[in-house]
Amino acid sequence: MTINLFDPGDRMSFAERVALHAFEGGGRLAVVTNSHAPTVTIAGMLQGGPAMVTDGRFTVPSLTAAMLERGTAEFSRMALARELEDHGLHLDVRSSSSAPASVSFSLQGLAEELPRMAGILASVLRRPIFPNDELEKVKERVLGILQHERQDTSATAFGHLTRMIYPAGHPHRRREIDIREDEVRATTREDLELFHAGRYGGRSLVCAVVGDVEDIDVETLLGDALFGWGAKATVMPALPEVAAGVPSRVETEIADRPNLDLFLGHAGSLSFGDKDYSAAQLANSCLGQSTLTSRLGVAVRDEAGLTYGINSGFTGTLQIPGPWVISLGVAPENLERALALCREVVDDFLVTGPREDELEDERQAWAGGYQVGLATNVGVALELVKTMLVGQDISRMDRFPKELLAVTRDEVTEALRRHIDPKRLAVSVAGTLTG
Amino acid sequence: MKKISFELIERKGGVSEYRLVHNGLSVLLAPTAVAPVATLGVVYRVGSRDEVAGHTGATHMLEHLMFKGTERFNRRKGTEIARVLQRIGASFNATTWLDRTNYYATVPLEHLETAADIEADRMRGALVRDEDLDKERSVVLNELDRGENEPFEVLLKGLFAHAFIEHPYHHPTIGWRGDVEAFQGETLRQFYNTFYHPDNATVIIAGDVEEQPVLDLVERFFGPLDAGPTPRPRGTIREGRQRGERRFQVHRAGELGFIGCVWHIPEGLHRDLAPLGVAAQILTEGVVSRLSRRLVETNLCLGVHASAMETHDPGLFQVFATLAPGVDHGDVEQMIFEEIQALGTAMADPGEMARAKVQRRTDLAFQRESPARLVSGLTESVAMGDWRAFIDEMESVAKVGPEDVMRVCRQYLEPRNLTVGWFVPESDGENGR
Repeated sequence: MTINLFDPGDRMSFAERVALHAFEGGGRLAVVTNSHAPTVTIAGMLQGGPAMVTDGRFTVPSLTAAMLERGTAEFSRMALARELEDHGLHLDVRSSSSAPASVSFSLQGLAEELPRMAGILASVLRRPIFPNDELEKVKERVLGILQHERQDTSATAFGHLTRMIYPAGHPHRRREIDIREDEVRATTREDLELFHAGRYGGRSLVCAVVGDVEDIDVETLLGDALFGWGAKATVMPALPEVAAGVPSRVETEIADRPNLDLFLGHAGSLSFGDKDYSAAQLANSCLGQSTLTSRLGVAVRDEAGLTYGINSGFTGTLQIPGPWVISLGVAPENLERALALCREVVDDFLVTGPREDELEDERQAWAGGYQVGLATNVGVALELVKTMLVGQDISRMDRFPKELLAVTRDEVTEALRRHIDPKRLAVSVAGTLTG
Repeated sequence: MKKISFELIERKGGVSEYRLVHNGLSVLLAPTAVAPVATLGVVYRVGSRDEVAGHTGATHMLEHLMFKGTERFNRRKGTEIARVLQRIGASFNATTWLDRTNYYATVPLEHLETAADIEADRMRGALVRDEDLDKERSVVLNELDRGENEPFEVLLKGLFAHAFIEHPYHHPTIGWRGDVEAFQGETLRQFYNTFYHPDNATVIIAGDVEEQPVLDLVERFFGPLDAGPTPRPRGTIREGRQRGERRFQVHRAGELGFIGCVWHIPEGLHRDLAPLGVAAQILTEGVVSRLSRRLVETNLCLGVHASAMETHDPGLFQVFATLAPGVDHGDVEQMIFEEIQALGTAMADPGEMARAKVQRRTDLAFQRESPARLVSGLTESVAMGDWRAFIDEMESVAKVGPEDVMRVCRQYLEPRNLTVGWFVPESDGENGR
């Protein structure tokens, strides 16, 4: 069946094309048959992310996710790798930065491998054994990656920005590398076993399967394997309060880095399910979504030639609102000019709001882009997971483009002034500032 | 009677090749009814290999200026190319590489016409103005700085510069900084007027489309354009045979070391590319690959990657390793050589061969699933010189035997043909030889 969201001649809505299954005790599965390519994508999320810890040790969920592929009751690290690679399967499991309460996974392969894929996912998610030798290897690897981060201008600047915005204990606060290194070194197998037993479970799982498969086969194979086990879905632990924020600036010197990475931002408050979600996203689109056509892009890149790339955006809108940020790269001699220009553009936009013509462009861009984003099995699967994760009805995927087109200029201007505040902007820059 | 506009050249593997008789434009159609979208790409057979000393980076800069507009599509009229494409929900971009420049947009099906209109208009109507160059130059210089921030990019640039001495693959696609700072608008206009013509381009369309309406569309927009000047200059420099190991180091502030090893190999259409590709997979594809087990699973490296470049002219077989903190460059380099030597002296086992082939089969199935990836795959084959290489790839890989892998490793991956680069972070510079 071809997935065809927008063909007016197509009688079936998207919601009608999706087979939905809700499982006793929690967990939801969405299946879409698309027989135009011999592939299948399984994607899902469950409540095992950093925001689910209660003691501030955010490294534990990340290491738990990283260890899932390193040994299970059925497979050693190498046996699992062979099982995947011998059959052309691609497995990815990770703590999600866009949804900090969740761990996300995807498994892709040829549709004929569906039974094997179901078995592998059940083994990996339900029955990891966290072997000590593999844990030591993962810890060493993570320490190496953290070492690399010390020289990464973008990660360094963004990390500082989050520390200016978010208090200790908040999942969007990227802690100092030293602290994370100490925490990695101190993490034990028992920490991971405890976290897995306490948080992982099919009861919090949302999963989408899209490809050349039949719904009945998917439900039979995945129903018992992935749902109805383990920990119950629970509410996220309370978050520390985020202060309103005041303007501040941090500069970090990193040698031999001629391009500075610059971030301007403040704590965000936008969530996927908010009534003004579309209006706020459209406001940001006009301001900084595209490095070529947005107000920031036109002023800072196209007219002033100060940067190769500039964007603004809301982060973390799926579960815990993250910062709203402007990010750009800039040469040291252009830093102050770029910064002043960014502020000028944002200030002006706050006063005027979007013009009707630019707003119409962005409405059309989002509606069309939504269609293009659903052009592949993985695109459809990820959108289904996102929709189920935030508890929205699948029919949203039919309504969303039309709702976007109906958002008014007044609604966008109002959302803009509610969610973007230039008086609270913190500034962080990293690179070779001193020449 | 309607005049015959298109000549059918060949149908193969779900792709049809046509030629617009009047102006020589090549057209590849790949109908795939996965979703109601289509991708339109235009590949120009001009890349950084066509640049001469003093003008390096001109192809890439021209690619940037192609977004600055035409008489019909420009900011003054509120119709600049990026805005029009964005307005229709397009996912679009352009890239420049060694042998080609390409422009592409994935659009909702009903907007395919707009994408075709823009590409046809800027094929001959781009303004390429001096004032746009002045502004865009600093944008590209910032792009160049971003590359200089990345140790891997710095190493890669050095490897090409050392491995290629005569051939223009020697210089980076983005150009040498001094050239980017200096070249004039006239250089770019000359480049544009030489290479941006229908007979030097291929239009590729994939998606939920039918052939005849799409051919009509292509004819309507690209048909009025005339063929370009002939003969068109195309570099014919051949890199001389390398007769000894080359080696360099880059010492810079940093925390991690990198190693790059490259060997000269034949052009992308050569029959030895398939076994070289399988060799790369056996070395580094997945956890169970030889170098991953030896270097990554032992935590000597954070990552290792091998690939056989598929280029128009003879290219490079590459192995890159990101060293874990404190690990000696020399130790890792030695292990890379040992594994490559082993692959050249004993046949790969049947399990390795089967794994490499099933991985490739799956990758190709996913490439076919997405119109954008399908156009991307065909683009690279066009750049190599024959789009059919994309279709034939699975068959070529299926025919590779362990003896082929052993032979190509012995033939090409040998010390006299080798260039080695080390990125040595200053903090452990004492590890450098």
